Amino acid sequence: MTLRLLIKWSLRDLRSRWIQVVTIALVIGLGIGSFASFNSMTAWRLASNDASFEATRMYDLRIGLSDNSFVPTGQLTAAIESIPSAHSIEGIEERLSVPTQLRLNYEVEDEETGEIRTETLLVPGLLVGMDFADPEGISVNRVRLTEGRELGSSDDGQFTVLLEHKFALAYNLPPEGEALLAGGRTVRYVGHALAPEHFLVLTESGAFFAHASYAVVFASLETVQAVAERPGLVHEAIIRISDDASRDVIIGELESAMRNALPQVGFEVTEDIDHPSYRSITEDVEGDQQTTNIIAFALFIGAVFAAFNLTSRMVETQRREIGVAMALGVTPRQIAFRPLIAGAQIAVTGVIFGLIVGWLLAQALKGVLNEFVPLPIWVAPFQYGIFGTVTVVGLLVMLIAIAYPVWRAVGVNPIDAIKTGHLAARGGGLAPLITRLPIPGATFAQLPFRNVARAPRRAFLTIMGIAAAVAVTVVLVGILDSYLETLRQGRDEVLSTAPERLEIDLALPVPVSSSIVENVRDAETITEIEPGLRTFATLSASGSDVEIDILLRFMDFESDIWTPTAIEGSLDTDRRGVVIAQKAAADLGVEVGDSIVMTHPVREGLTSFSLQDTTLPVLAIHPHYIRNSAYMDNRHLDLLNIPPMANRITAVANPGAAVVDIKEELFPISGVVSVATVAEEANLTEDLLNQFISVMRLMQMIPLLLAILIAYNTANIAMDERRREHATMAAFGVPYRTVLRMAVVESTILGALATIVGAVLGFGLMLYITEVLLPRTTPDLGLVITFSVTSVLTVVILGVIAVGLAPLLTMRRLRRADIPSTLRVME
Amino acid sequence: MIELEGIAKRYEVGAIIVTALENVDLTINEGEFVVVLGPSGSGKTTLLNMIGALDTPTEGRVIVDGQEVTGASKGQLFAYRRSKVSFIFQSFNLFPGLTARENVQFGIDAAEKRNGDGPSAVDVLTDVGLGERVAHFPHELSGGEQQRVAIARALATGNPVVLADEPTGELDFTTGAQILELLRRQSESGKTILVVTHNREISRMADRVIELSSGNIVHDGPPEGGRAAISDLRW
Repeated sequence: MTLRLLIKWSLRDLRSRWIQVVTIALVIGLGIGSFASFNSMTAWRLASNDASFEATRMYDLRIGLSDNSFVPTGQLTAAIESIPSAHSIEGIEERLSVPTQLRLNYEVEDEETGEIRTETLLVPGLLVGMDFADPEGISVNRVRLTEGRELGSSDDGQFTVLLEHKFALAYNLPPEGEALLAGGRTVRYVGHALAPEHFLVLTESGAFFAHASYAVVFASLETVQAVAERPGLVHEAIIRISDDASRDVIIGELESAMRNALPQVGFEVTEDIDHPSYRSITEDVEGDQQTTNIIAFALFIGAVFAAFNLTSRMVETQRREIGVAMALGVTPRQIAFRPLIAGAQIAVTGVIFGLIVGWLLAQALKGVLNEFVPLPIWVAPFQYGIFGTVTVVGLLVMLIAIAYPVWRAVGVNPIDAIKTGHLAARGGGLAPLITRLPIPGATFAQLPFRNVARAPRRAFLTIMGIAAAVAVTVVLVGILDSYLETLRQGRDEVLSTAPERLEIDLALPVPVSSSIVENVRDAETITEIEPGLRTFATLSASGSDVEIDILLRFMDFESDIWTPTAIEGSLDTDRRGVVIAQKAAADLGVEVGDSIVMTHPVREGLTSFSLQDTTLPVLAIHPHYIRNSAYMDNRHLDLLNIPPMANRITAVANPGAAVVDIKEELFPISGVVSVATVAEEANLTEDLLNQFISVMRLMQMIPLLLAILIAYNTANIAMDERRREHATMAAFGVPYRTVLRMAVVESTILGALATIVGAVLGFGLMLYITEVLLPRTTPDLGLVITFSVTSVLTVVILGVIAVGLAPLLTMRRLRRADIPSTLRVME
Repeated sequence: MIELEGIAKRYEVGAIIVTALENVDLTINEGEFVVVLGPSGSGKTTLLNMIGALDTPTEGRVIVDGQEVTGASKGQLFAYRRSKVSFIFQSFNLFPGLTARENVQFGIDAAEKRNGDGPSAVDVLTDVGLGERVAHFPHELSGGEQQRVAIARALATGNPVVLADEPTGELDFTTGAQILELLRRQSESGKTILVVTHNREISRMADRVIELSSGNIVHDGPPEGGRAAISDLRW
């Protein structure tokens, strides 16, 4: 036999079973494509992050003064330049960032009429002031222009600003326009820009993906100082150091220099990785990689099991021909050649499908990633290594899948190989074990169970293929459910009482008797207010090396409006203590009554605070999922060495007053920087989750498709293997619908077993991801691990119903079968 | 019982028309043991398939037990096979996942008989001499035993016509003779038995031999030399 003939013959083999061939190739393609693209995603993100952060010169170190501390311009630079390793400093920028509110008009097209109407937007935000006048540009944390023009020295103090790119994009804002800042200052925006700290926009309280509801505005330092009425003052410096410099050494030197230069001012030296946005973008890559690796690996393994099983079964249908060839004296090597060529062709087709699936998925994932984290530079080079490796593995699996049945076939006497020509499993397999199973109904009800049991190896491989797809689905829906349940519980906690209340942020802490507080109290749309104070602090506990940055809120524990729920302990106003989140208590290993150390600001002068450690008891534990939310009673404000002051006011609106009216009324009050209902804050996170859900739904399509393809091809090959049984049934007058019902029941049994295996595997993987991997990247989130009824149904629909119904797709083949010819096949 | 009027069957194989049966007229009475004899390609299996409604004639009519098979809908043909005819195949075609008893029970279930309407699966298996093997799977049985299970399955349906296509083809002489004896007994109890074979020796024990050649009946009558006893057969 010539090679040409063998290739032609193998091509005919493929053509005669083209549906099975295409399905197997698609299964391989889905496995290879999803594995390669999910793994490439990590490489793309790392490359894009590096390029974007390098191009915008993300800071390495930051000196931040404690809350509400300011120093004259130049003092921080002088302190930094005084350190022994000053030669390693590549750039220093002093900055002043203040919270603000932004009001501007934007145009929106009416969905029904198509008319353009103008809407007014009023959102909280952050005004970032830095030096745009440097002729060589900003040396640290450059803003990268995406629309409009750059800011320059001519803009110093001119109230011209740049809007954050994603915020502008969310409202389709033009490059130029006017906006109003809190306190009534009009500014002109002249462009849109991206900055490394805001690639992922976070609110001051740490809410993610806030780009549409939180406006970051870039302006010259002088402009921000003027707006904030802090002329000549700054409160942070950001620093770039050379690559070969030791961060630890420089941090030590900076801390020493700051203590010497500004002994009365509290400060903190942090690294880029401490910035939540930077950390989320960079560290999430590693965490996400582990999660996506698990999902991609599970899909790939599922595809491998399925491809192995289906290919083996396809080759087994040729055992009769193999036996004939053996009888004719053809050598085993020659016999193996034809199916191997056919298998290689399926594998190559699968690889081509894999490249297509991978490319399509890559485009979808790139789009999603770019939407979530729009970096200024996106690089997505083809990952030859990943695709190459997975392709080689795919090819090897296919060749093994073919070699195995061929090896089995040539290992027996030719007559036995010929005798096994009727395709179905000969032996009883495990069928004798289930003969005592009391299954009600006629033999038609018994047959599907026996068919599964009599070919345990095939059933196992089919089950594992589908189980992998089910496991991936369980992981995806489980993670989603856990997020949703966590948010729901958080929302329930926040909205437990007075759900319509508002939170009003002030630019700076002010005495509770100040005019700002009084103006808010006197607003017509407001009926009741409770002033409170928020400050940053850190918690630690003896015996634990965990340190938790918290947003500590002083409030009235006897408030009629809202107080946190004490799920353990009580909101004792007499004892000086702190109420912490459940997750914080778990991470610190403390319970109610235990002592924890709080590092908090203590007022030293008019605009300076130092940091001090105080040991406090845990008064109570609240259930909110954000571990950095903590509370103390207003009566213990002396901890900070300040009189009763407020920078956050809780307000109850006049019944009937619209939120927009309240915002409009409070906007002109100088010092008010943000007005939002608590529901709005909760909705922010839900908006984010809705995007996340759409991505998850996209990802869920892959295991769904994989499971259906496996089930369909299993049913299709089974139809080949059982065609004589089906013909016999037809000869006895058993209707096609009964035959099909048996196939459906058999497929349902496989689906149900696969669902059980997949659910167990998936649940284990989900627990590993949610309890081990996610806490590493999002330690502040106390995820409530949940699996909803809807998700159970989703998995059952996928694993049992979709798989169970797959044989219906073979109905046409069954009806078109040539019964007399099939019955005449002799052994 | 079985009437075939002007039956013809032609197949198109590419541009060639192959005639499997041509102008076959035939009547088979209830309780007859008929052997359809002929060489390979003579049309004997096609004839069996026509009677069994597994195939449709190009021309002519098939009437079985007063029911016209030709022109019936697919659903009616399935119902016909459930209630009128039962098949026995050369290669047994047992369901490997079912035990002997369950394979026979399958025949009862397929014919939509309720338990108690007729003999049980075990009774039928006992009748064919397999009372001790009811719990065995096909792969645990010899070829002869498997064919006896297949016969039991066909008999258990209670259908009046049994169509056997080369039932001894895979069996040795002794086993084959036992199978034929079994079939013979069934005709004596009132069932109409049609056995297709190319083995002339088998035809000696039939009531009637229909010999086919190139799709035409060339002989229809009792076996030459009269009906022989099973013990007289040799092949």
